[in-house]
Amino acid sequence: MNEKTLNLKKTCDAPAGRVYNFPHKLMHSRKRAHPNLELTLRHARFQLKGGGRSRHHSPGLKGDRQSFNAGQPVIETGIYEVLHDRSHRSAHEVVMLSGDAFPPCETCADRVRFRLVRTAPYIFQDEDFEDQE
Amino acid sequence: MQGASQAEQVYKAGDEVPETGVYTVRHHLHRENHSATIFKGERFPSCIHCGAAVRFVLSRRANRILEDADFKQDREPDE
Repeated sequence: MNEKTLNLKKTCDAPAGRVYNFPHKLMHSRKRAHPNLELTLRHARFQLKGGGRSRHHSPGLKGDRQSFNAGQPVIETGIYEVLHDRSHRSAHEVVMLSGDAFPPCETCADRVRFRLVRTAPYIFQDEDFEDQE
Repeated sequence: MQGASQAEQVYKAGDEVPETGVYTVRHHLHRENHSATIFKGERFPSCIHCGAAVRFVLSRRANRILEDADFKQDREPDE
């Protein structure tokens, strides 16, 4: 038995438990089976909150950075980054209330975009402070 | 950090809100801190549970969009 054959034999003698077969294609196909699951769950959570009132409002900074167009409804109260078209103005932050609509810019009109930076419910929509307005 | 206050100023119920933005709300014992949007010119409210013991600290300042020059919608429509 030469050296090459010996090395091959050693490989084949490895314990069966050390050989793993990862079903990559199967895992990917599972992801594609529910492409909008996260979006669906997000909307479901919002509907459960009811009228914008929430004791356990989602805190802090947002990572998904979804952008919104002028005319779309504001789903969550909070701070939004405003991105103007053709840089007629640098990005800035504004507070938007849920139920309002994202407005057009007087300069770049409907080409303005809004990105959620941080959610925080309006104080009088919180159950510990409502009905005091 | 954009919009963050330099020094921590603590406000109590009844104080006038100095800046529009997101505030950290600190309750007395019954609930953990949380964030809330509050508008300039309003009064900080008391909590229905801990009353006037609740405190507010500005976390991130930002103007309300309708106060912004590019988005003001209070002009009369053209006739």
